[in-house]
Amino acid sequence: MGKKVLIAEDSSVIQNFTRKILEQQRFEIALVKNGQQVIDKIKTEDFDLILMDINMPVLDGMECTRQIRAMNDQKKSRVPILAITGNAKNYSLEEFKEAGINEFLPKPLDFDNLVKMVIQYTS
Amino acid sequence: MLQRSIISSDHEQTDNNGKQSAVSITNSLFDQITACIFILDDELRIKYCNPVIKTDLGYDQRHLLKLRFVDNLIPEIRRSKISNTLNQYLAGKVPKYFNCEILTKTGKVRIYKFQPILTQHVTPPELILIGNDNTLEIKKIKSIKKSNDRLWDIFDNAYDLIQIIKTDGSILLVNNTWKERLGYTSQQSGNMNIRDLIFPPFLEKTIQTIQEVGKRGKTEKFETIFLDTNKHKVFLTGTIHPKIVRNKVIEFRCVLRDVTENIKAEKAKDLYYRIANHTIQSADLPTLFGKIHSELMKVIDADNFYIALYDKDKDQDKIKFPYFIDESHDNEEKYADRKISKGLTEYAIFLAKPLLLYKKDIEKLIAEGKISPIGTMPQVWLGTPLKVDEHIIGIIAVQSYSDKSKYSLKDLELLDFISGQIALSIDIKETEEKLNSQTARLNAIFESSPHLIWSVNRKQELTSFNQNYFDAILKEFNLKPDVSYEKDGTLIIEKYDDFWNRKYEEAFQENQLHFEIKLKKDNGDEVWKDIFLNPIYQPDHTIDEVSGIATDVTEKKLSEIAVLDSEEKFRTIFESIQDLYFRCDFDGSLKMISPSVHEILGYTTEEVLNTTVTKYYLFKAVNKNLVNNIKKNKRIKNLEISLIHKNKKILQCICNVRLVYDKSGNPYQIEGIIRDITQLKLANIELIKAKELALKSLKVKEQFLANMSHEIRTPMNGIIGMIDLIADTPLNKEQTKYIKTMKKSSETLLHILNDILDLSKIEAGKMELRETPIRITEVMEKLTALFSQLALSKDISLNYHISKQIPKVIICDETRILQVLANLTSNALKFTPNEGSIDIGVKAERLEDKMLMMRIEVHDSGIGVADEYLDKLFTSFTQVDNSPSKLYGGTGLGLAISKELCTLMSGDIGVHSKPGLGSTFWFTFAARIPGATELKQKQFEASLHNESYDSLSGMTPDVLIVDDNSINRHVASEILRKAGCKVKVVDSGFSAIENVKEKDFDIIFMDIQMPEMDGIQATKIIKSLHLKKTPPIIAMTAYSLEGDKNKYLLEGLDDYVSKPLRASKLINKIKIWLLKTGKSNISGINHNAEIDLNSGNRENLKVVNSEVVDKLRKYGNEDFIKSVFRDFMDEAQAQIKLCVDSVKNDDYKKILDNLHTLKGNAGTLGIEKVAHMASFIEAKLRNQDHTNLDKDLKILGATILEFENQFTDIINN
Repeated sequence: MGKKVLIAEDSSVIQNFTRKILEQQRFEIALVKNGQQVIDKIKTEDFDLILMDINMPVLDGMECTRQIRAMNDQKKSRVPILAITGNAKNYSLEEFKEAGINEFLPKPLDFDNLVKMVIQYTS
Repeated sequence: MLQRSIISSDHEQTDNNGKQSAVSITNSLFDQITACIFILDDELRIKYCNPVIKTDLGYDQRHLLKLRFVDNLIPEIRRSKISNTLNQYLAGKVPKYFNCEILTKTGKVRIYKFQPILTQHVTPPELILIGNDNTLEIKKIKSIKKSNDRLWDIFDNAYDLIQIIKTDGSILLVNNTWKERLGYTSQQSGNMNIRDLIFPPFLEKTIQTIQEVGKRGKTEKFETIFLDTNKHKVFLTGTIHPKIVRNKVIEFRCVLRDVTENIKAEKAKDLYYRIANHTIQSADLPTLFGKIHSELMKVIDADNFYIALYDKDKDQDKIKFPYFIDESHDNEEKYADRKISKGLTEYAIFLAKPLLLYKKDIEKLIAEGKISPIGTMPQVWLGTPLKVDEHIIGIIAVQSYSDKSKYSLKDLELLDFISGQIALSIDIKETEEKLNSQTARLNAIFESSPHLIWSVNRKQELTSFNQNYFDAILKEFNLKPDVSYEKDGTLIIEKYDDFWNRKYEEAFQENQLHFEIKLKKDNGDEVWKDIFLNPIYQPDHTIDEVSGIATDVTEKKLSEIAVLDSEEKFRTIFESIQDLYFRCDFDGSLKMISPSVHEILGYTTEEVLNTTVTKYYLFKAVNKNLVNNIKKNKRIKNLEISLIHKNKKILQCICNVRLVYDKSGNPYQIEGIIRDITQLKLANIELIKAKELALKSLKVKEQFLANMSHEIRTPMNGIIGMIDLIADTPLNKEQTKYIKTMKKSSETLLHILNDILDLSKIEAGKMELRETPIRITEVMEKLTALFSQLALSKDISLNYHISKQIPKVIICDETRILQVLANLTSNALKFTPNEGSIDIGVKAERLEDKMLMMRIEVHDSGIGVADEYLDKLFTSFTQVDNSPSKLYGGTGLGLAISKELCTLMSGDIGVHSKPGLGSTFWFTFAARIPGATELKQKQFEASLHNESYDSLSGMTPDVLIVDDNSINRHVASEILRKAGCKVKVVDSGFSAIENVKEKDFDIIFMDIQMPEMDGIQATKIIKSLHLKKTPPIIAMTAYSLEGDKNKYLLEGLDDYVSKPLRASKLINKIKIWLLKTGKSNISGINHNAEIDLNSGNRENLKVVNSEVVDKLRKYGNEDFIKSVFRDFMDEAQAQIKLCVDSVKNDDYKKILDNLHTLKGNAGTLGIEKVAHMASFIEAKLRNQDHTNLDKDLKILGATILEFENQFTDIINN
């Protein structure tokens, strides 16, 4: 079985093609639309990586990441998190690091880079 | 025995009256006797019987007493007879014995032999019967008699002759067969002696045999011949058996078989075979007849024997006597043939029956007039007809003049028997005659054959020849051949004698010869003969003669010679051929090779022939199915192979091979011609090397040009920039004039540089067309605006005319068309003397569906171009000649670039010219007729034109300029300061890093090419500092090739601006980035001005960037890509709708969120125009600038619509 990747993305466009690209790379994909759904999801299931959109409704990527990192279960709290962002709020790299984001992938999204990063963080 | 038994009896019996009888006395004795005893009284009643009757007959002793003997013990039919007999016995006539049938108690009949005894001393008398059961005895005798009768029967009726004779030979007994065969009655035979019977020559021997049997007393086999009553011989064979009584032979029993018929049959058969044998062996008929005669003599008396033949078809009325031996004739004398008469012979022939005639019979026939007497009258005459297939051909006859008893019917039979064989012999003779006629037919063929046919014997004498032979020899050699000719007169010419001798000898050695010879005719001409010599085998397989058959082949031979001549020519070519010619079988075995093999491969032809072709070439996969390929394609041309020289060197060769067909059109070999192209190949390799070198040089040249143009553009940048600045300072009239000239010159120089860059772009395949809707009138207006000043100065009238068939708006690359057009126009101006004219015509050459082929002609009244230069006009770095180039200046690249551009636009370029009469330069390009959407876009874009970009409208951003070139630094800083920026300039990446640490900048312009640390490195370091506010970093570079921008963006730079720096470009960038980063807080800004659509960047924007699509293809098929774009479209439309709705509620946060996502999505998918528009609106909103939001969103909507209209096409491409 492939590694499990959770994609948290507001936009179904990014969601869909990210899913398809990663499925093509033999990853097993789960999809959620906001940060709260990420929290709910990982409570019941372990993932090898989370692709996190920063600008999401209900619970944004930054806050979501902080909550994950605060979890007791190390298996869950240490999951690699890659942020996908157009960086509308102009977060700095320090701010991402501080929140617990391992790496950020700027929008417009470079597919090659996306695949490269996901593979790098899951192996 | 009887006495003894009576005496020993102790049985006691008393009679009724008390008187003791003989019976009673002897009762006790009788009881002991094993025989049956009855005592009967005078009334034949049983007075006594002994106990034996119980055991023998089953009766109880007592029950029988007083019963009548006859009534109770004798079968009914015998009773009266027995009763009488017994009464006679009682009367005293007692026989010794009598037999009598007695009934047993169970009713069976037994035969008893009784001894009757009459007791005479007793009155009344008693009859005592003492008897034994005699049944078996009687039966035995009966059966013996029966068997005796049977033996007699066998004896009488046996196939063999049986006789019993006494030792003196008198006959005692003979059987029926004997009597019947020899014809004697029983009575006659009884009085005969065997000596009377034996055929006299056998008498002595037979008697001797009998006596010997008598002496030895043993059965012997013996053979003899008797004479029957007719005095005919009876051949006998069998056994003689002596009967010996008291050691003395008293008689002989002879059992004999008649073998007369066997013997005769055998003799006849033997005779028959002998005659048959003689038929085969006898050379001729007379010999055969002699042999027949002598054989016949062995069987019958044939002193007088003759054969008469008569064939009424052939001989008419003649009768022939081919064989006649008669005592009344001299043996040497041949009995003459005679006419059919009434002779006995003729009679017998016509009667067609075997005849035995005695003198009296003949006399009778004479008397009856049936025959006439001829010759001596025989006592007896015997004749049988000769028949072949039921056809009488004559008779054979024997006769005797002395003894009438010489012949019997048996002899007639014999004669008849052999007559068949004699007739057959005669028939064979006739067949021989038939064969002769066959020979005649063959002879006819022999004569009529078109060939010359002859035969010679071992002495080489001509033994036969046909007419053709005769005619030919006579005609050609003036010789008359004759069978008496000494040597084969044939082709008898002295000098050929040896030759013919040899040939004939060979043929006599059982060889069949076939050869051709050339002969000189009597008249000196040459003739060719095709000759067959065959031995003629005799039946005994010997060879006495040789046959010759000759055909004239002169004509054929002459044509063959002609062929040979041409073959000779071919051979000469073949032998002198430089290339290698070969022929091989399908299995590769070489059957023919030109002598050039030695020169080419180092082998001699002998070494190569019959070896396998594969030995001589390097096996390559290509050659694997070579033979099959040749078979399939019939021929292969220009096949490259590597041959192996004897010295192991490899030769590069090229060959043509094809199938060779036999006469019936079937392929059976492969032939080919091979050329050594090793030298050619080497030359070719050299050529390729040279070409590669040339290409490399070209590459170097391109590199050089790119570098040079860059190197020149950098200072040019400075010059032009400074000129711009100077022009802005207060200047007097003269200074203004100089500055204008300077500006013009430097712009020209820049133009040249751009030309060079363009060309290298085109040559590198990096030039891309940007097709947009344009108005052709605008293009022409721009052109005239560009050149009107110059034209006016030379007093040249510059006119254009646009054909009415052309639509107002067409889609094409305006820049490039203008470039070509400007080039041609400036050339025309350059080469047209004062007061001349230039006319430009625009028309459509072809209109197909939505495609137009545009044609623009620029006609001038200039100096024109000579024919020989026309071709060179459109090549790089070429001007018609050197001196005009000096006079007229220019890079010489303009036309070359134009040509490339036209090709790029699917068009062409050309010129018609005559020196002194002006030139017409023309070019064509493909254009599309736009749809409604594109027309709208054109209008929209038109509305965006003519804006001012030169001012930042009161903003004072902090700008850092990083450039190692002080001129560039100065130009940039001056432009930006003038526009209102606070500018800091540094000369290296290092100091840039230091500066950003100390001060927040709103934007950084970064030169890429810097020593020690280039712009990219510097940017990466700055970005990695994680400053509180990292400013956008804009690359400045002279590398303006397509794709550069993306390269820098990938390296981490935020944007890109190409050198030479122009105020408008820089200011625009600042405006855009201030908006993006939210620094622009000044209202009243002209937002439209910041739309990159109009800036230099706009040029690079695409509805969909195909590079991104290509990248996506790595991750999925077309369906995947389509689905991604469809997702985008659906979401984008929803987002736009949301935004429009949110405007009504003033929910800017929501609009921002949506625009942000849309921007990210569009950017990710390379939907550049949408991304850019979304980004633009987003930036405005972040600056709290809500003006024209409705309008902006509508534009965004239109952009999305544009994408939607095109995306299917785009991804399909």
